[in-house]
Amino acid sequence: MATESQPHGPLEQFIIQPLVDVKLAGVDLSFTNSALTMVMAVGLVITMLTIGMRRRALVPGRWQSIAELSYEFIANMLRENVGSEGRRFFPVIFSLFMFVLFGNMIGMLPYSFTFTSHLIVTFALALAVFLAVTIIGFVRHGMHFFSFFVPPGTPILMWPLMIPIEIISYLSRPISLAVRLFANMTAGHTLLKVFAGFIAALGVLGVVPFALVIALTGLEVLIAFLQAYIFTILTCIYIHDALHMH
Amino acid sequence: MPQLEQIDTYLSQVFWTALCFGILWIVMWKVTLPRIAMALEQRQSRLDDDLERAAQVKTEADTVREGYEKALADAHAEGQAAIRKQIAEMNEASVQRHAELTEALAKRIKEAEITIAAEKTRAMESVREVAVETASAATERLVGVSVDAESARKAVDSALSKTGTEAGD
Repeated sequence: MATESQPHGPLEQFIIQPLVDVKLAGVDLSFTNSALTMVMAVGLVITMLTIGMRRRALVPGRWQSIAELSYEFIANMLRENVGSEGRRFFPVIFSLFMFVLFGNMIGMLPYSFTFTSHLIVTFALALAVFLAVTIIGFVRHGMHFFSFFVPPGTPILMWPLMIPIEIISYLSRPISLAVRLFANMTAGHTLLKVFAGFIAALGVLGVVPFALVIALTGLEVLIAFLQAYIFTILTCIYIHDALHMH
Repeated sequence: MPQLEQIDTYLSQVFWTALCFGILWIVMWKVTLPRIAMALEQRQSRLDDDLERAAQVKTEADTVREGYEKALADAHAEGQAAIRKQIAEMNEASVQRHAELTEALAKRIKEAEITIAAEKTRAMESVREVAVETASAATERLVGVSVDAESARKAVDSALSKTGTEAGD
């Protein structure tokens, strides 16, 4: 799609704009609007959780409750999906959830940017998860980890069929993980922009798309949370697979 | 679609993602999460302490209550025993007095019976005398024969003994 030809199209919101040019050893590492929202997300998470836990009261206030609820939410998710061994991965899982959640939520603010709507970002996260999980599997089980590609109880006759299928399904994990988040964010924001475009175009009748946009915004907030949850819980399940093999 | 077109920004995006996520991870790992964990732990230990103390106090209360109930039961049993003892004593005394009374009455009845028997004998004696005199007087008046005292007494005796056996029992 030609974004340049329709500057106010629904896809304009996804354009990366360099804010500060940074070149490191000839490589373009410019600080862009995407990087800005990332910094905002990280800053917001750290500020919120740090301020919340400033007093560490016995009876938590609002901010402390948020911090404690997030902590217990992820801790429970990890315990239920990975088990007690998952404790070690808690900081990274928690950070992952917060990073994606705040990336999605900041994107819900008008005129802001959604860094999770960029395939390269979600793919980088998914690939990191995939590589980490694979490394965990090999460290834990050594060469025995290859037996992961043969589900227990498979007749030897079926091996030539099952092994390629399992390998493909394993390798497609980072792709599905990345595309799920990227596609959900992109589709939702595009839809919002398309309907928003109708508001001005339809004049008085614009109230109909306007109501729709309001409803969709609510839905998008839900999806923003849900996709962060799904991304995190799938990571937990992959870690469980690597630790326990099936 | 800018996501797939702006390939020249990919490196920068990956770089900033890694940097931001890395910073978030380290801060969460080293600072924030331990703080939250500590707060949760403190609360949990505080709750556990309180619960423990409550359980302890409850045990104490139970002990006190048990002691009280035992004292109450003891006092009750003691009272019952005293009442039973008193009743037994009173029963004994009553039985004894009853026996004494019965004995005394029996004695008095016996004495009375003896007196009655004596009176009866005396009365019979006097009745005989009267009968002998009446018999001799009547014989003298009716027949005109004076009967000597000895034969009159014999006749009366025989008549009396006849009626005596008839009326006696």
